[in-house]
Amino acid sequence: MKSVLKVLILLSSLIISGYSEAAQPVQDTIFKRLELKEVFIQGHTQSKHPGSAFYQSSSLSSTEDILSKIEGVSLIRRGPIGMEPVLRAFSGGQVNLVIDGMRFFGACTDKMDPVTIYTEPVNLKSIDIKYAGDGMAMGPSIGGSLNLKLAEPTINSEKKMTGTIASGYYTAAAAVQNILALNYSSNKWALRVSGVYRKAENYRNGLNQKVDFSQYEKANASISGKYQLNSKSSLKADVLLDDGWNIGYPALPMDVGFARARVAALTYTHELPNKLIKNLEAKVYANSIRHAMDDTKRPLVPIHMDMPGKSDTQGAFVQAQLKSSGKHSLSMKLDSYHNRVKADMTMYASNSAPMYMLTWPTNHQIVSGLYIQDLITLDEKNRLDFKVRLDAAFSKVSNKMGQDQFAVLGYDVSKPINNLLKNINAGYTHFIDSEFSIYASSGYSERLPTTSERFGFYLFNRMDNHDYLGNPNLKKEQALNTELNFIYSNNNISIKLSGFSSYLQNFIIGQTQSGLSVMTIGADGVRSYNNIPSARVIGAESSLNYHFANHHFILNNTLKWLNGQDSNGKPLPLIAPFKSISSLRFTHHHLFLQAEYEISSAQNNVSADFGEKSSPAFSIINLRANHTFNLNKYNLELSAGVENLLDMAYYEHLDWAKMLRPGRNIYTMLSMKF
Amino acid sequence: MGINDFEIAIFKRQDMMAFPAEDNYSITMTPEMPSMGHGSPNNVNPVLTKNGHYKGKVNFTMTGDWRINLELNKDGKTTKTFFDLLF
Repeated sequence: MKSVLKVLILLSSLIISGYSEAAQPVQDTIFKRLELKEVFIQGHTQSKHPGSAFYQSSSLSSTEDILSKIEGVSLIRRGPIGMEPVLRAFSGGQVNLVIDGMRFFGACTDKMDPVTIYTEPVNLKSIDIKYAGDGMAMGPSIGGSLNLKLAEPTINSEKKMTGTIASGYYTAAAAVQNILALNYSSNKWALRVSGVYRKAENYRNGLNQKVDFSQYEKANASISGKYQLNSKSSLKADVLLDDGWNIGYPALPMDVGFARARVAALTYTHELPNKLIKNLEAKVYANSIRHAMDDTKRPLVPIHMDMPGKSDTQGAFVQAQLKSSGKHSLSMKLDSYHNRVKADMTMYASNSAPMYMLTWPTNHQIVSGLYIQDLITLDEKNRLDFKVRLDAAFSKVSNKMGQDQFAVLGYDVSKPINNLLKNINAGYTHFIDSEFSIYASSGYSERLPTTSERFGFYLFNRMDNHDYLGNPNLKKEQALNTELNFIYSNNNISIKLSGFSSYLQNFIIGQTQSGLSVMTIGADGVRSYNNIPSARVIGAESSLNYHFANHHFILNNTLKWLNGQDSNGKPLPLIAPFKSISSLRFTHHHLFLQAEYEISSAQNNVSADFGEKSSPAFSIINLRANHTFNLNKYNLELSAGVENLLDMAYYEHLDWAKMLRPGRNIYTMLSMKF
Repeated sequence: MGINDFEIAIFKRQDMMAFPAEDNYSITMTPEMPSMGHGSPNNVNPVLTKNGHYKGKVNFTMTGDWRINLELNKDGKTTKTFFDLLF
């Protein structure tokens, strides 16, 4: 029952897990097999969701591997890890990347550390993606939200100790990965501990060349404890530690010396099925990120630079679902966070004193919001949902040096910038019959400019070879989003077709400033962020999951297509071309074999101004095999496979600097569950 | 750092004892970081206030070695000079 409800929550975008009165038995069957936007992670406990096998193609898959398979997600790739998720056409400040609902801001001025770099699938339960206004529960955004939900300890008095140990090896980068997950349970409490260690050398691309500066090393540990206060309430504490070091970014002029995240959270949940507040969740959290770029290993560095950055966030939220009254089921969320970022740069030129400047002047940001959702069940076949969100945002540069730097550019940033953000969305679900349904959604959203867009100081962008300046006077970016989904599902097949459009106003983009001289040696010019009157994005996606031959075969396919233009009809940058991923899995007893075919068309609609060039089409084939067996009381799983079987030399359009991806990559992994 | 007042005074050595103020110069000032090869934006060239004193604004975008380049123009003749700062 619980898993069915989870899937329902995806569609209705309910922010509270648990029992929902909207989950009417008649409709449950329709969604039984639908993996709309939430991808469950297999690991410690096997996910029974049919789509999981497709999205998480092997137990060694990283968070980024899983995201790359999701139909609405693309990745901006600057290195072997630290890829930046793009939801449909939106990235950066246009989307909210959160961990268990916690706000999180990378500490790197060059976007080397999206939140996804600080998690591993072993400490996740699921990845929940909601596009456009449907994702506003996590914060104001125009592109939606990506929530990395942390795995929870299981309270199970039957089996005190359970665990998984896994170890794997990839040939292309001589990469090792070791995973450990343990769950200890007593009657009233449980503890879950998980850890990952990954290390990779420079990988070999499809031309049989070693890609210099593509190595990395990373360790992640998470501890989660849950205590059942009584039958209705529980307390959960999470600590997550992630350390990466010596991470190469071959598409950038610098690598990363270290990237470190520390996360702590305390969550209280309460369920009172018959009271006015049916269930309640309250969370307080804090996270701290330290990041340092490193150019000491690069040859021919004109001037050595130290570029550290830090980001600290503290926040809290409380969300509640009210008892349904009549046709209405109301839920609300109150959230607030404070974020402080600071990044600086020290340059060491020969025969000269060190030079110092703030690349991100210390920026304090406080954002508090109220979110209300009403789910209206009109009758058995029709359902409406309304979502409203209002945020008050405060931003201030607190250090004198940062204020002085911006005074040089003609801006007074000594005073705070205040914004009010309004987000509203309405959705309509119609169940045509027991197998076919339609979901339409439309809304208006607003988002804040990011710290880089407001206060970035001569941040070098390798893509267009320009230095970027922030613009404290930026207006909010606004979007009118519409989408239409057709969903078909029966016992063996589920199909989802989506079409969507976004009309953006005050779209934030870099524009060349002719009067300014470059800071970075060799840069072509200086750009500053500006609002352009409008831009538009349209696109379509589909996903198919088909079981046949008595469930021996599962066919999965996803398609995605996007088109974006600015107000002059010029293509927007960072728009992925048409892509299709298909997989066919054959399962027999404890064995499965899987073949995958990824095909991408060329992208010729490119933003030359942004330094983009056309990308050619490519196709790759992956093969995987998996065998599970029991040895004494242990459950063992042996996986092996080959990615990019034909050793193609290829890159995707969003890969910076046309950096070729790994060539033929053979892997093997052994895991043991007990 | 930031925006700084810049004042320069020009006197001509007439003889060992007399240094009359020079009021007829137009001055172009360009700050530069010699080790980086870049300058800074929105500087204000010094203009005459009185008695050979010229006032303007010089902007520094970072700490380090800065060179202030000066072009002194009078009667179609240009004198170039500079001085260095470190902070």
